Amino acid sequence: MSNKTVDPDVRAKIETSPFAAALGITYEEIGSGYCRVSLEIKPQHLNFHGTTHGGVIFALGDVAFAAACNSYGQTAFALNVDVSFLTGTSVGDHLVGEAKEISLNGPIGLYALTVKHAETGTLVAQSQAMAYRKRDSLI
Amino acid sequence: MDKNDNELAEQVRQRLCEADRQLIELLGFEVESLEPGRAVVNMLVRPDMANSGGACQGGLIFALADHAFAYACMSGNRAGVTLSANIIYSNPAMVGSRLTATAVVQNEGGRTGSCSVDVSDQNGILIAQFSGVHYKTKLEIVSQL
Repeated sequence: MSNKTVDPDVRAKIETSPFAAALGITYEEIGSGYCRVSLEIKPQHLNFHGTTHGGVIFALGDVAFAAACNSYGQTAFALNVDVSFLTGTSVGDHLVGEAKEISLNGPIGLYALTVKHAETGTLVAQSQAMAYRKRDSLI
Repeated sequence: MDKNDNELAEQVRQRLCEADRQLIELLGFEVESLEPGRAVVNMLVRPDMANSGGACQGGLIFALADHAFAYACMSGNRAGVTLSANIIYSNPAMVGSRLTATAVVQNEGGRTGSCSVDVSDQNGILIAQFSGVHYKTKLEIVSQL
């Protein structure tokens, strides 16, 4: 992970994600190859069991991942993501999603994603995500 | 697979859709069909589903596939959860396209099962491939009393 700060225009572009806004996800921090986001679970996020839909948990990590791999200003997209769901969550839970770069080699970046309970740090889901960076600029 | 299994799957579909109503509305899912071991769920890619690049956010494509996966795995009337999954993104899904996730159970044991999901758009273009491991609880979805 480089220590370079993220171009303010790139950051602003990343934060316009309509989907993140629709789910209620907040961007907390974006750095080079890094992002942290948060989400409070609401009734519309629940599945049949009354727990948070796995897709919502995945999406929280995915939004952080998208920001982290696009943070250099080159358009990047996901190739492949593995996820493991470790514990359930429900309405009122405050979750934190984090994406950290493990490796960046040419166009291929690999990121470790976690979703945790904000207060306790308990691991909710863990993912590994591979991204492809195009030559196009994000802005 | 007999008529009773199909009828049960339909009862499960109705019960799940009822419970998932708010989520289905938020994410725009339409459960087209549920048969024993097979589910089809559709979704129109709306503007509020886009990432900052203008394509459907990958996380939502996962959620669509995961939803079809869950329904297929629960078609036998046992409630369960996704333990782990892998998704490969093949082509972008643009705003306005209609995605279809088709989930087919591959294997089932007493407490776990595996299921594969293909997500395609209205032109038959492959958008994503998803496969997952499912964990079955002992709970019934529709009471059989």
